[in-house]
Amino acid sequence: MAIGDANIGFTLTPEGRTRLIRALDAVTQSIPQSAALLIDLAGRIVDVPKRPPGVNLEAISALAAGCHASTTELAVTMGEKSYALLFEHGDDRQVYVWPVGTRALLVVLLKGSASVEQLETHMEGKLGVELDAVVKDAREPMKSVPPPRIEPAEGPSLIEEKVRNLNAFIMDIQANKPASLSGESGKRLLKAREELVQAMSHGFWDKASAICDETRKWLSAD
Amino acid sequence: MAIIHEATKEVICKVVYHGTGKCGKTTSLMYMDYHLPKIHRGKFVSLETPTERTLFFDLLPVKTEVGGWKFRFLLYATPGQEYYQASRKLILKGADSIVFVVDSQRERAQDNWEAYELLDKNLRDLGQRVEALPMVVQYNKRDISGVMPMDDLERRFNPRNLFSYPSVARTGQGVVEAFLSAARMSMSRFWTKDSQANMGEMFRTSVFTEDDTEHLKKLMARLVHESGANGALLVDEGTGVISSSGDISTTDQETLGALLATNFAAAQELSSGLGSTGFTGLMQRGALWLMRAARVDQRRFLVLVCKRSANRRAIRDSITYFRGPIAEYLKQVDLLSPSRLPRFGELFSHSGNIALAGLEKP
Repeated sequence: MAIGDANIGFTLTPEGRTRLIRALDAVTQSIPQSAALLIDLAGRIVDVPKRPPGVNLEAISALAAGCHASTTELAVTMGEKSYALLFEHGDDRQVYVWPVGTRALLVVLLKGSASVEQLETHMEGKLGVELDAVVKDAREPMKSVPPPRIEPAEGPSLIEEKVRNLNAFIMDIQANKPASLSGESGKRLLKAREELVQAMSHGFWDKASAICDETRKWLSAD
Repeated sequence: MAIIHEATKEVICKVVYHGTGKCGKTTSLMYMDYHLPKIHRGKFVSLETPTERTLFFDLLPVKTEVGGWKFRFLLYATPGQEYYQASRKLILKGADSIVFVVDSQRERAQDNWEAYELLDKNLRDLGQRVEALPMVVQYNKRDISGVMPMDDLERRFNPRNLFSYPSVARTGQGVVEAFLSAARMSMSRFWTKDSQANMGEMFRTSVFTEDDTEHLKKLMARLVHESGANGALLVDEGTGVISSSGDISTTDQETLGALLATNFAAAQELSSGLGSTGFTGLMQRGALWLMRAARVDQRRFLVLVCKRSANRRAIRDSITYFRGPIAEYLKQVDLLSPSRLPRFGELFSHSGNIALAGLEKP
C-alpha cells in the first residue's frame, strides 16, 4: 500500500500488506467486539481490515498519534522509556494504543468484557513479533518537505539595543495611547517595521540604525 | 485561561501560534528558544512527525519576573497541516492570546484565509469568539522576493486593525516583537473592563488566593494519603499544574503539566470521536510508574502517580471520591475570580512592559 505524502513513515510491499491484514484480523478474532488499525507515527492509517461505521478514523488516528507522542515525552519526563496508553470509557469501552517497532502504532478499540491483559498477552507473543516484522520490512518514504530551520542574523549589539529600545517605546505607546497608532500613523509604523525587518534580515545595519532613529523621531513628535 | 496564584505571586498565560502549514509557527518558537537567555525560558518541546513537521504541538515556556511577581507564558504552536485539524483545536483551549502567522507568499493567500476561518470555527466550537480574544498578526517570510505587499496583506487578513508585525522567522526579525505584543495583550485582559465577561468558560482567568492554595493543598495531600499513590496533580487544560502533592519524580512540572493537559484533551477528543460520551479517564503505564487521570470539571482534571504495583482499585476509588469536593471548591474560585481581578489591574498595567522588555536581557 503506497501512501504518497512526504510525512508518512513507511510504504508497505503487497506481501507486507497481506501479512498485516492477517495480523490485524487475528487481533479482532481473538478479542470479541474489537476493532484494530495500524497507523504510522504521524497518525496516518496504514491499514484497517474493517472500518467501524460512523467513526472518523482519520481524526482518531491523528489524535492517537498525538497522544502517543505526548505520552512518550511524558515518560521521558518521568524517567521512563515508554508508556502504554489506555483510554477508558465507563466500565465497558476502552481504547488501547501500543507501539509497533519504532515506526507504527496499533490502535485497538475494545468493547464488552475484553480485557487489556488479554490483548497484551497477544502483543507480547506471536502477534507482536509478526507486526514488528511487517513494519520493519516496509520501505522508507521519500522525504521532500524540508523541516523548519533557523539561521539567526545577529547584528551589532548597538543596533540590536536600538531595535529593542524602539520596540519598548512602541509598546508603551500601544499600552497608553493606542489610538495614536491607528489610521495613517499605524500604516506609517507598519511600513517602517517592514523596512527595518528587510534591512536587518539582509544585514544592512547602517540602514537599520537610520530607520530606528527616524521612526523614534516621528513617533515622539506625534 | 490565565491563572494568578497570590500565594506564589505567579501569573501563567497561554499564547498560541496559529496559521497555515509551513507558515513559520515552529520556526518562530525555535528562534525564541535560540534568542532568549536561558533563565527566561524552559525546555522547548516539539512533538513532530518523523519528517519534523508538527504532529501535535510545539511548546516553549517563557518566564520573567518584576516587582516580586513571576510571569510565565506558555507558547504553543499548533500543527498547520489540515490532517491534524482535531489536534489543532485542542491546543487552542484556554488560550489567552493568539499570534496569527501569515505566510506572505502570494500563492499561500488562500491557505492563510482558510487557516483564519478554521481558527474562527475552532474557537466557536470551544465557546469563544475570535473577536473577543486578544490577537496579533505576524506576516512572515518578508525576505522572499515577490511576496504580497503589506497593504494587500493588511486588507485581507487584518480587517480588525490589530497590531501587526512583518517578520522573517528564519533569521528572527520581528519574531520577538510579535510575541511581546501578544504577551502584553494576554495581561491586558486582566484589567480591561468587561473582558472576562466576553470570554467563553474555558478562557476566563482564575485567581487563587493564599487560602485557596492552602485548601487545595490539604485536599490533594489527603488524596495522596488515602489512595496510597506517590503523588497527585491538579491540572488546568490550558495552563498546566494548579496544585500538587507528594513525590512526583520530576522537577520540570511546567513541561509535565503541559504534556498531561494536551494528552488528556486528546484522549477525551478521541473518545468523543468514537461516539462515546462516557469518557472516564486515561491510564498510562510504564515499567515503573502508572498514571491515572480523571476529569474534575470542564477545564481541570486530577492525575495520580503511583508505582505500577499499586492497588488500582484504591487509586480509582480515591479519585472518584475526591473529585467532587475539589470541583466544588474550584467552582467557588471561578465565581469569585472576576471580583478579585481588579486588584491586579494597576500592578500589571505598570509592570507589563517592564517585565516583557526585560526578557531579552541576561
